[in-house]
Amino acid sequence: MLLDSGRHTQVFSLISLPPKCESIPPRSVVFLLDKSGSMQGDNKFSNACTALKNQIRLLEEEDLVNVTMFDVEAYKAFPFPIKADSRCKRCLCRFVDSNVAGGGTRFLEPLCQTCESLLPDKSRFPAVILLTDGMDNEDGPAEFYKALKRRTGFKIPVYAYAIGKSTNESLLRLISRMSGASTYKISDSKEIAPSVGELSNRLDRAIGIGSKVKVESGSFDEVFAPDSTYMIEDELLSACGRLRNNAECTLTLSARINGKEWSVQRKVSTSGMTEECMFLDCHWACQTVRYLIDENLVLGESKGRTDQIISYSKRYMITTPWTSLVFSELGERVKPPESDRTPRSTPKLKTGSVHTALPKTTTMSRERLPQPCPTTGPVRTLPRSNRGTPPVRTLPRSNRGTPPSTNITLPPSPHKQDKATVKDRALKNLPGEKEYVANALVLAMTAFRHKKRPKLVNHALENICKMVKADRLTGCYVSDLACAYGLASLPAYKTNRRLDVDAVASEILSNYKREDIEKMSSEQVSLSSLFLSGLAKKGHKLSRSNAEHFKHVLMKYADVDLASPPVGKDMQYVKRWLQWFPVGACCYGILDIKVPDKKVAKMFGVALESISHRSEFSVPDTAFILSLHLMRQFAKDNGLEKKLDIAISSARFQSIEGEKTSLVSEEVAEAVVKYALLYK
Amino acid sequence: MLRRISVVIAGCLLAAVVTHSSNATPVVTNSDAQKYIVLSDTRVDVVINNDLAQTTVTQHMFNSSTKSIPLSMDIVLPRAAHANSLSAVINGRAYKAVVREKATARSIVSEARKKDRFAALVEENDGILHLEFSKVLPCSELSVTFSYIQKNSYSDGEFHYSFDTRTEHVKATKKHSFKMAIEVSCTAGIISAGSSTHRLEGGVDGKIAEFNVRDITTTQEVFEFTYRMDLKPGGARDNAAR
Repeated sequence: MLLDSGRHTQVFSLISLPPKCESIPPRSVVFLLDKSGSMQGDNKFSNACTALKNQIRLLEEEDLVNVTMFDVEAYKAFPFPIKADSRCKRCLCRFVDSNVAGGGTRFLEPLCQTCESLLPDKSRFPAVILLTDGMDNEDGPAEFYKALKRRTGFKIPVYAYAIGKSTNESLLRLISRMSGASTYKISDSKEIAPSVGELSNRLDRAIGIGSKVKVESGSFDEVFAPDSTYMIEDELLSACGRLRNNAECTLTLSARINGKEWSVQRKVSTSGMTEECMFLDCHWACQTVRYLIDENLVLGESKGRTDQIISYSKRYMITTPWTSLVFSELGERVKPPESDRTPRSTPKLKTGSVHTALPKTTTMSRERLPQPCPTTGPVRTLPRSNRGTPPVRTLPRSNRGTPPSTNITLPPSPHKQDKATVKDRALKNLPGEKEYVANALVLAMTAFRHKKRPKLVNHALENICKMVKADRLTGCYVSDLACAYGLASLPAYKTNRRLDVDAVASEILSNYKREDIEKMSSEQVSLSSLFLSGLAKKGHKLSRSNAEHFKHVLMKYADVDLASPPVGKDMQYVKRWLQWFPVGACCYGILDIKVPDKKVAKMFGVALESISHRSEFSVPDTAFILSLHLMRQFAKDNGLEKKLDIAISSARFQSIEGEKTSLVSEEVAEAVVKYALLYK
Repeated sequence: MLRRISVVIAGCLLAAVVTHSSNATPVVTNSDAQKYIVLSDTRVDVVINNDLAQTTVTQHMFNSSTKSIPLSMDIVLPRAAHANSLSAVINGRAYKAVVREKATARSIVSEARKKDRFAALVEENDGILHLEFSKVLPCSELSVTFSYIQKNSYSDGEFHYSFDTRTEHVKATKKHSFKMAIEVSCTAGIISAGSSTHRLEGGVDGKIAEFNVRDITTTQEVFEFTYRMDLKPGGARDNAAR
């Protein structure tokens, strides 16, 4: 007997192999076949008859057998099961062939009578094999179940075949389970013969009966005993259950083999549960829920059972007739998924083919490596020839306005916090809208792991959480994500330094010399620009020199494609970056319409001024408006105004163009792409 | 003799039924998505504990079109398996499915749709999880992760685990990477473990085994894995004493 347990959940599972047994006792089998009118369709009746005849022919002489057909009445081949000699088999086959499908369905009485006819003979292993495609027309499921229980006590295993979709599978499953048998669902009538054959094969190997798990002491919640009341040779017996109140219990697995009682005992206690199986409790919960659902469907809905089902369902994520799974951006506080499962390092041993015993002396490598961020595309640098040198542009004086302050307001240094506490607090204490931030947090963590900068994870978490606490984040997805990814893409950052977000911003800007930009991949550029957009959204002002650098950052992205428009795979690559919403989209729009450099410079000048002096403007908004202006200009120059008018007729566009304060949404970004593509 | 023959025939028929396993990877069901959603990466992690197995499937895809498209997916769970986790990263955001009572779930979804926000309802019908995402942004990536628990079958002294690696109705990129790893831990010693269909890299160490599956693709049919535990008939030896 083997025992395994989930340490924290007090759920255990138990598996055992039956003992060896040389002689196999004879059987007593009754086939109960539905011959109602519905069995005519899809050759169900003929296939079932063929399956029955095959099995009858394979019975041993010492076995007892009988066949009962039913519609609204029962038709027995013999009054009681008789020895399966050749004459009996011929008679049964003729009986099966003589029946034609037709009429209604009523099988409570035949089933009860069949079970009762098998009760007296204890020297053989009894089994009822029921094949039906419908429900009892007269008795409701609850009445059916109660009557069967009253008359037979579920002492005879009823193996049920639910053929097609119109059966009451819950009722059949409950009857089978209570009687220590199984239910088989058959969707295609061609499956009947192999499935019945397989069952018959199993029953041929039955060596014991009454296998059960008994609790000797202590208290348990439901214990799910072995699937079958039969102990089948070489077939695993398994059960699972849950300890209650840290109890210590003794389990006895017992059965009757060759007329003798066989049993094996095992003590279970929470203190002995050292092996952790994370999904054992879920498996147990699922079995419990299935059982409760069947009871509800058969015996009628009870509030206690339904509440229990819903409770287990929510806790273990089991879908039921009363519950659904939901993904939502709103209302519900959705805990982001834990970081994805990590790939394991390659184990050190190499195995041979199947069944080869391997040396046991080798140590296993259990370490886990971090997994790349699932949302991050492959790091790829565009060919140097495509990058070009960004033209030196001077902002028009009229557009410059008041020089912005060079000081960046720094929030107080973050206190060192326990990573788990920070994460926990960030995820748990966020109101609905702030789940954006929680998501950004998770992404930041993954991004950092990918970059192998574990210390930065803490910094990022601390800083983002601090922002959340101070209510300084806008809740806007773009800026939070930009912040996270901006941090991740920082090229000059040293892992042993502690800086908060603003300090990081300052460092980014101070490191963005033109030559650095030249060395950066387009991915880094776009990420950095997104980071800057995050800063801009939080109202940080840029120094003039920083603004210059920022311009280069943005222009770098545009110039790459202006110099040599991407084609083929490169185009795919650029398009994939459009997921980063407006900045990428707008740059794409700009590069696609190929405006003269001076105009671009002017428009970026406006953008930078806006960022520097008007906190309500963000980079994406500004860039978007620029893009729109540029497109309008281009349309005018190329006689495409009509097309553009149609394109920008959406209310959203007009609103943005008019008020210039709204945030750019996904729809707008998408629209920009669409317009950009108009000119291809 | 007759019974022995019947056993062989029934065994063959059973094998035929068993090998027709369900496809546990998500199946894209709407035509637009079938056309434009491209599969870039698949990862399968299998954790086996005695006779139970938890399979976690993660698929990364991206929308190769220039328009937002809705996405419907069906996940066909193996027979008698049950899902125990479902999450997605879509349009750059991570979502984890939560279970709510049907009325609550529907109201959440309708409220979100009224406000033009993303929401999706996932319902299970007869072992099939049906996911419906309202839109996937152009050129954006999405990944779907789900896990399910199943009981491994046992015959001839061996436990059998199988996973259908085929992907249906979704295009895979040429550089599509398919990784699969298996971790086995048992309360008794593992005598042997291996696959009859794929090459494994890894090995067994007492009660633990770890393998990476090599050369796995979306076109091969079913990955089969078998392992044998040191089980004694009749429970004569108590392996679980700790």
